[in-house]
Amino acid sequence: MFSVFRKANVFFTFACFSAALFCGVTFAQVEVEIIADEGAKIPITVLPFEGSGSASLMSEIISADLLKTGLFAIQSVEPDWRRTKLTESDYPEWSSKDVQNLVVGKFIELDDGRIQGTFWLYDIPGQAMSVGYQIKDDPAQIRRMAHHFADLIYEKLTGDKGIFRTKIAYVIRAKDQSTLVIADSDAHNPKEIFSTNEPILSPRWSPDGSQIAFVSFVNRKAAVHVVSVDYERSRVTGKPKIIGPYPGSNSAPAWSPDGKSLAIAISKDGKSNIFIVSLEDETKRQITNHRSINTEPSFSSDGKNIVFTSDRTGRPQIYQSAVQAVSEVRLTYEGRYNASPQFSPKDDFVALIHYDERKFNVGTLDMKSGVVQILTNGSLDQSPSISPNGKVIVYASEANGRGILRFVSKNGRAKLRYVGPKGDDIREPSWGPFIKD
Amino acid sequence: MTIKILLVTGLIAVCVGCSSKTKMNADIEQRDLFDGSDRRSFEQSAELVEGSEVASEAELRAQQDELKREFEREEQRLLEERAKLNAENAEKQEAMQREADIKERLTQNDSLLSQRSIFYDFDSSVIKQEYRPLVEAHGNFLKQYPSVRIRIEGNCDDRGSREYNLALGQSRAEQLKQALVRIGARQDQIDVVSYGAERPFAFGIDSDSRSKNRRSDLIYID
Repeated sequence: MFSVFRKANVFFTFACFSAALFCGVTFAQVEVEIIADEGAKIPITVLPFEGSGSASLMSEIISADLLKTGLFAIQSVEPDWRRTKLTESDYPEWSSKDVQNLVVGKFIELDDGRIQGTFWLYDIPGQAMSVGYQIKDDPAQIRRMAHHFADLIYEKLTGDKGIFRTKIAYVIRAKDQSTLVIADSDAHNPKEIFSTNEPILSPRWSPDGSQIAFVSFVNRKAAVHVVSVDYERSRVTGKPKIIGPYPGSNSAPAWSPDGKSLAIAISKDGKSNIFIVSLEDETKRQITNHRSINTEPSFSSDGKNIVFTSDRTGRPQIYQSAVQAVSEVRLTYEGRYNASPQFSPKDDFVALIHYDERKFNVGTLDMKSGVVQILTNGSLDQSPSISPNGKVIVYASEANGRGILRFVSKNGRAKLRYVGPKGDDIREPSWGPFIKD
Repeated sequence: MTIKILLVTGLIAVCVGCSSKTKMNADIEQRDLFDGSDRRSFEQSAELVEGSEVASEAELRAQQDELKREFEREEQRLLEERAKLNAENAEKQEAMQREADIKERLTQNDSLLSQRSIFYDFDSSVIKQEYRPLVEAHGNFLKQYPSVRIRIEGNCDDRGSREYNLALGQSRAEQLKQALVRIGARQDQIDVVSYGAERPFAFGIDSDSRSKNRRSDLIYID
C-alpha cells in the first residue's frame, strides 16, 4: 500500500491536470529531481483530503511542496484512501505502518460559494496532534490554501518559515518583446505585469513586496524603473516610473532593507560605479569610486554593507563595502570570474555565479569561512535569487536553447527544473518576500 | 547655379546704379528750386559777376569728384558683396561636395569604412591589433568630417552576469570611443550605449555565434 522513495536521483513529474480548472491558461510543467540524502529526511505521509471536488488537489499540492524542498521523504498512499481527524485508538495502527508524521484533511464547498479547508498534522510516535488549522477562502485561492497548509507543516517540522505562498518575478523574452511576470513560487498562476519592446532585466522585489524595481531601456540607455504591484494577487497597481534617469547607463537596482532607497550602478565615461539613490527626493550618494566596472550591489539585512561585483583587478570578483564609510574588502579569490552576489536573509552566505573551466554555475560563498561551494552543474547558470527563508536559490538556466528556471536547495541536495508554458524563454528570476500573516 | 548667382549679382549692380542716378537728379531739382525762387537776382549776379562762373565750375567739378568717389565706394561695396556671395556659394558647393564625399565613402563596399563592427575576446574590452586599421580609418574619417556623428553600441555574448555584461558593453563602446578620439575625432561626435547581452546579433549558443555577439558596432547617424 505504501511506497517509500529511498532511491537516489528519483524523477517526478507533476503536471497541472486536476488544477487546470483553477490555473486557467497556465500549464506549467515541473520536473523535480531529488538528490538522495538518506539520513537527513523527515518522513511524512499526506493522505488525500476527505471531501468533494478538489479535495485531492489539496493533498497533491502539499505533498509536492514538501517533496520539492528535498527535506522530506514522502510516503505515498493509494489515491482513494481518505481519513480525517484521528482518535486515540488510531495511533497504534499508524505506528505499526512505520508512519511518523501524518497529515489528514477535509475540504468542502460552503453554501456561500466559498471553500473551506481543514488539516491536522499528527506526531504518531508522540501520539499527539501538532497542528490543526482551518481556512475559508474564495475558490480561486485553492492553491494558496494548500500552500498555506504546507507552510505550517514545513515550519512545524523544520523550524524554518515556509516559502510556499511566496512569489517569483521573472522575465519572458520573445523576439521583439519582454514581459515582466509574477508567478507563485511553484510557477503556477503566472500573471503579466508589464510588457515592452525593449529588453527587461534585473527585476528586484521591494522588501514589503509592494514594488518591483527593474531595468529597461529608454532612448537606447538602460534606466531603472519601479512599478507598484499587489503581491498577494500578483497584480500590477500602477504604471512603471523611471528613477532619475541619471546621465549614463543606470542599472542593477538593489533595495535597501527599509525600502526607502535603491543602490544602483551608473556607467559613464568608461567607468561604472555604485550609488545609493533616495526614492523620496532622488538625491544620490556615491559608494564606489573606481575607474573600472563596479555593479550588482546587494544590501546586507541591516543595510550597513553591500556586496558587489568589480573588475578592478581585470576580472570580475566579489567585494564588500560599508555603506557609510570607504572600506572595501575583496571576498572571492577562487576562479577567474565571480559575479551576481546576493546576501542571504541572515547574511551568513552570499549566492553568486562562478566561472571555471568553461562553465558558469551558481554557488554560495560562506561569509565565515570564505569557502565557495558550487551547487549547480549547468553550463550557463546565472541570476541567482535566494528564497526569503534562505533555504532555496532560484536561478536562470537553459535547456534546448531557451531559458528556463531551476531551483537548488542551499545545501545542494534538492534540484528542481521549471519549464514554462508554450516554450517561453524565461530568465532573470527574483524571489519575493514572505507573505504577512 | 553659377549662372544664377551671376544674374543676381548683375541685378544688384543695376539697382545700385539706379539709386546713384536718383540721387543726382535730386541734387539738380534742389538747385532748380533754389534758383527758381529768386531767378532775377540770379540773372543779375550772372551779369554782374564774371568770375562767379569759374567758381561754379569748380563747385561742379567738386560735385563730380564727390559723385565719382561715391560711385567708386559703391563699386567697392559691390565687389565685396560679390566676393562674399562667391565665397558663400563656394562654401555651399564645398558642403555639398563634402556631403557627397561622405556618402560616397560610407557607401563604398570594399573600404575599411564599410567595416562597422569590431569583435572581442571573452570578458575583454581590449581592441585587438587586427582592428587597428579599421579604427584608424574611422578615426581619420571623423577627424576629416567634424560634422559627422556616430553612435557606438557595445554588446556581449550571453555568458555570465547580465548586469556585468551591460557594464562590459559600455566599457567596450567607451574604449573604442577613446581610441577614435586619440586619432582626432571630437568627443561630441560620438555617443556610446551598451545593450550588454540583451540584443544578440547571432542567436546560437555555439562559440561562433558567441564570438559574433562580443562586439562594438559603429552606427553613422544621418
